[in-house]
Amino acid sequence: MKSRDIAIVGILLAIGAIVRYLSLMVPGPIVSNLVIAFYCLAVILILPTVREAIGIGIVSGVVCALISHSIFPPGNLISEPVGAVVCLGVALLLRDRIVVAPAVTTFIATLASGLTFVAIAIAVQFPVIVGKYGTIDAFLVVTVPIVVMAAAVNGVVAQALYMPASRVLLRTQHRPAPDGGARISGGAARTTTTNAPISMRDVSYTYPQGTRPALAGIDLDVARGECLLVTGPTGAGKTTLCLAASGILYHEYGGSFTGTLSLAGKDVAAYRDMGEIGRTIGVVFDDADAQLIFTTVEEEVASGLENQGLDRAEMQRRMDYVVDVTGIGHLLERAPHTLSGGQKQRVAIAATLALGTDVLFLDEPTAELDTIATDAIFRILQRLKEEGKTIVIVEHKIDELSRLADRMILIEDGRIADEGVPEMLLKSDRVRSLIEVACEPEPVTAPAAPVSAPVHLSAGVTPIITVHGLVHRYDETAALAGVDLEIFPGEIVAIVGENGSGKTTLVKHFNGLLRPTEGTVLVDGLDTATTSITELARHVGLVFQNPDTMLFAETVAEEIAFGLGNIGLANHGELIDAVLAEVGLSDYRDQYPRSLSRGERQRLALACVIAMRPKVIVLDEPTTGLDARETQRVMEIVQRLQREGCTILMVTHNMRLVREYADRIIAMEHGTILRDTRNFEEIACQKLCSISTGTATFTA
Amino acid sequence: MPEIMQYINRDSYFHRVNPLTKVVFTVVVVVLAVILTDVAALTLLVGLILLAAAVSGLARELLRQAPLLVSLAVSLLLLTVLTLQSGEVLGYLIPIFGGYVPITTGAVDLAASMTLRFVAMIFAFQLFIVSTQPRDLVQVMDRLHMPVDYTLMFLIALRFIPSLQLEGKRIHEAQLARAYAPGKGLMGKIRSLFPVVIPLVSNSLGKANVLGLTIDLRGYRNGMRTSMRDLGFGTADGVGFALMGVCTAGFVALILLQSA
Repeated sequence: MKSRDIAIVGILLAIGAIVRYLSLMVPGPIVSNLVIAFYCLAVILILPTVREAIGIGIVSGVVCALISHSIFPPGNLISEPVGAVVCLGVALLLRDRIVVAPAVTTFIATLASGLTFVAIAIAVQFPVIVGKYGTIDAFLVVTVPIVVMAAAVNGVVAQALYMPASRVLLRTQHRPAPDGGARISGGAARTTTTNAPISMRDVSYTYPQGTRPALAGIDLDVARGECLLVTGPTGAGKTTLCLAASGILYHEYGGSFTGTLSLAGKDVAAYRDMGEIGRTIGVVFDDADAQLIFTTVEEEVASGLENQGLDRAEMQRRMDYVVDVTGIGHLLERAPHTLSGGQKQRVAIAATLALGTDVLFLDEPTAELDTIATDAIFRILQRLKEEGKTIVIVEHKIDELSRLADRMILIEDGRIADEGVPEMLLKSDRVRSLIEVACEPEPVTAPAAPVSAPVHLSAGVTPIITVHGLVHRYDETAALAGVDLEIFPGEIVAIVGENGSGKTTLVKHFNGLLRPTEGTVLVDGLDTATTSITELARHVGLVFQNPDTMLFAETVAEEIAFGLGNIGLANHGELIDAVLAEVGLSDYRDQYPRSLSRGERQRLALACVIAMRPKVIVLDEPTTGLDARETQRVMEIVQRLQREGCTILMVTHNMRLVREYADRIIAMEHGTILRDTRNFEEIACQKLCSISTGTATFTA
Repeated sequence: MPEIMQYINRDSYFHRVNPLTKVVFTVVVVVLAVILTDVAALTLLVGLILLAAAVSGLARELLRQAPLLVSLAVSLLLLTVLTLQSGEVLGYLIPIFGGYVPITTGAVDLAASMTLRFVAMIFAFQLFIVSTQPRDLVQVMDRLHMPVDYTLMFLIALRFIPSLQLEGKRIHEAQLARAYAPGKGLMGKIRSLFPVVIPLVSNSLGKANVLGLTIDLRGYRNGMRTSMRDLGFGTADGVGFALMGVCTAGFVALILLQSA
């Protein structure tokens, strides 16, 4: 079983436990144990060995017994392994034979598990039952139909989830060649003459499903203590280079790998696996959440130390150092889900540093972070560089890093297009033209955002949103402490402030996701305290930071049709075509939404909301994770909507976005409005640029 | 937000003892619940568990299960009344026109003993869950020689439950903002699950790759561990084992006396 398979089972069991828990809220005497559907899905997806299936079953049994409110906990410990093994057997039998294989497999496995559970429950009661009844027929008559119904429900659930799940896994799938690593060809000299941390000679690589090389003829040496910045346009092969240079492609991805790669003077093939490479190099990935495995920050960092056989004093010394460098001392007792994105990434860096490697790879570590959190990460890198670590960082946020990096390489179309000292390289026009696509636009130096005549002061304009004396309390704490606000039709309003200042809480009141504890919120004449969310959705659209929060349909068109159907709009076809044209996705009508690029997905999410023609659109961090070109496309759509009379509210940390696009800026602090202005210069960055500690539920 | 993870951060007797002692406690209760047959003995067992919980200040956590237990008792009673008639007639399920479906002492007695047996086991597991930190559960699996792969699986499940709960809430809100209305009836409920569960599954499985690589790179599967903290056995454990021993001996004596 690969580590990735362990992760798949763990994640699916977590979802199973959640869904099972939610299903207990549904009234009704006995509901299906949905955990079974999820471990069956895991077994179907990874097809483990029998032994491994038993292990998966035991873990599932523990999950059922401990966290799914089982009425007979010991029963699960036996019935779930039975279910898992049966599931594996049926899955192997039906694989690729029928379309509904997941449903049938899960149905049969649930029957097996359910009947085993009942049998054990009866066996436990046996002395009494047989003593009094003489037979157990009555029990079977009652319980068997329940088990069959549960099996049917699980079958439906597993079938519906199988396609989306296997699509995700296929997209990120990597099957090593039979010899355990990637296929190596080419007659490049395998002997290494250098002792550099990383040395690549004529490395080319093609992904297993790829038709053309993702990397071609890469020659690269990274010296000890060097900080190398890898950049280039989206899709040029930056991340692939990072995966190649760290040995991950060779050991984990399969595909075709040619040329020589040596790490710390040793050929990559001489390393047994990534575990061994992990003692030489540390890798930090873009998805911070996926790099945290333990239930507290302290364990996360300590676990890396525990695996090295150090004595306790040395462990403690290293722990203190790592905590100090990354500034996570105040987070040690916290659980991962209570951390902000930036905090998670700092913990991931700390856990990697705890391994004590001299070489550190970072693959777009700030891709999903706001500007404040990004700065914090860059400060950590600054210190690590000063301490002599070898750092390879893939980034498209060039501005800040060009000062930090000793050398920069520019990847274009899988090749090293240029390399040199960042300062020098950035002077070349050719390089600039390539990077313009990759990095954010140059900051506007002249005071932009001309102070337009305040629309709302002109007589006769009725506000579209009126907030009066709004207070919102979560439990005891007041997230909003008395907000008064009027928003006028056709404005682009930026709402800024530190995490935890109440921005998200405020905008959630506009479409009824939150209701006022005190005060009133009127949107388009409707009192949001008494209007249903469904009704408000016609008036206020909400686009979340991450488009993947909403995408679930099979095609782009269906995705948009979902919202239209919900508000009872017939004649979808034309509406969908129109809105797709509006966001520039007409060619993608029948594509699977999740196969689109991040920027395209963001525009699709916008389209889903625009299609319902709300008068107000709320955007939460609309450009996080997008490059300059995509940012511009999204904001052009937003400006067009404004011209058509839409009112736009955007919650953001990105001051550049605020300066370039907002008509009006509302700065929040401690649940109140600190400033409400049309002049960007009034919002001094000082306050807003300090490191945030809040945990707004919007931000991933 | 309702918590799936039921651990309660408090300082009680059950929190202080070694998790392995609690595992033994759970096993002892399960075994006793299985071998005891009469209502009086089972009531005594449930009573003792409740007493232990009350002394540790955890009784309220157990009684929170009451709705589940009542519905369990009612369904079992219904089952026995419908299928078993023995002993005296206590009343009728449909007390009109002279009464239909007699409720007999035999049925009530059987339902009571089955319910009590389940209650004893549920209480024992519940005490274990509310007083044991998730990270200690992982250590217990380690100590019980669970292979590291499966311990990791369980750890990942535990770690991601609260995160995915938040993510699920976020997805639910995003769909609500698209005027999504949960369906009615069983099929409606199942169907309305998908706009939330499909993105949840897709997004979280998208993490499997990085998660797997992280496990490899940090060497978690090597299984060579020097724990920074030890879960030792103390006086509290000694007291626990002594009490368990006394109670078990008492119950065994009871059974022997009855059968003699």
